[in-house]
Amino acid sequence: MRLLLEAIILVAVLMLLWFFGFSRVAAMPVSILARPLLYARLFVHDEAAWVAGFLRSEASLIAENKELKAEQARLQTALAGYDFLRQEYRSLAASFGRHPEESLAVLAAVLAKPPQTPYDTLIIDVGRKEGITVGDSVFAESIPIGEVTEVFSRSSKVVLFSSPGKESTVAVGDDALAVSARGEGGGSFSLSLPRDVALKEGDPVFLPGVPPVLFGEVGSVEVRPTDSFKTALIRGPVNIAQLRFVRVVKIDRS
Amino acid sequence: MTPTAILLKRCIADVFLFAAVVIVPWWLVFPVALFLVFYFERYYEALLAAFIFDLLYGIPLRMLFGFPFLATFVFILFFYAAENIKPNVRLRR
Repeated sequence: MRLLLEAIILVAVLMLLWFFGFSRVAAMPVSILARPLLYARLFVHDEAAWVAGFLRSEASLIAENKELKAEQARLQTALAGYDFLRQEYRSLAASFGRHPEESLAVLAAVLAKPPQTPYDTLIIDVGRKEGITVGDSVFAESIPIGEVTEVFSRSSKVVLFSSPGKESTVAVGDDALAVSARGEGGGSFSLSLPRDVALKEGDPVFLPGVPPVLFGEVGSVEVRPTDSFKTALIRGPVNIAQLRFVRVVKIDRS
Repeated sequence: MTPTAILLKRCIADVFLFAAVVIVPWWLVFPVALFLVFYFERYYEALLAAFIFDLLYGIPLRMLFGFPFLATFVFILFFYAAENIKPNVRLRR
């Protein structure tokens, strides 16, 4: 009986903390104390990866080196084409009176990421002192991956778009049909759309806007003969588990 | 085992548990915490560790109407279930 009473009291205290918003106050000292541990973990992880290199055979290292050089050459060629297209787009947008502005971005190191964190969240090493605010967008290179939901003095919590249950409006198909993509965790999303909308594996999915931004790629499409809707599984273009740095772009509050 | 030795063991376990909450993946921390709940008497530190975990990594969960303390709530349930089970289970000692 006493145990049950204790359990009820603890749950009630939790509810009160949540209801009155005291959790944010309590989270501040925890994030300050956790920060050095997170840095220590990153350091150990990097050193362990360096040591693991000694255990690999020379042949496998040579093969990987060759593969990486070929991949680098391919990416450099693609990047040259991308830069050209980007310039073309800017000229075209300017001719229609749209001037894509360079946004103010802060580079941040990722202190914690999935699978260490649940719910597809990141902990990054910039916070209030660097001018970060709730709602700022987070990018991996030029790909939007989430937004800042909590800010502490020198760290922030980022919820990824792929966080389970999180909804994002995206555009799919040739007609840029607006649909809601639902986070499924692990960098994946699902969306439901009418079965007669043309969509196949490999089709890009965008965040609507000027310019539209790549959100992901269709991984598979599932439809049953009796359903009027089909479900598309989207995979994000970024490997969240290998993220080391992100850019935090401040939202325009003017 | 003397009470001092048990206390020392418990303090060491606490340090490792709280560090693990920050450093180790969550799917590894929870089984360890659960084991410690069964190993020690009234191991309230597991509840504190779950609370710290939620403060550090938790987000308002849509399926729970924005409640952010899922791990803490689940651990409260585990803790009190374990405390009820322990007298009826023969553990080593």
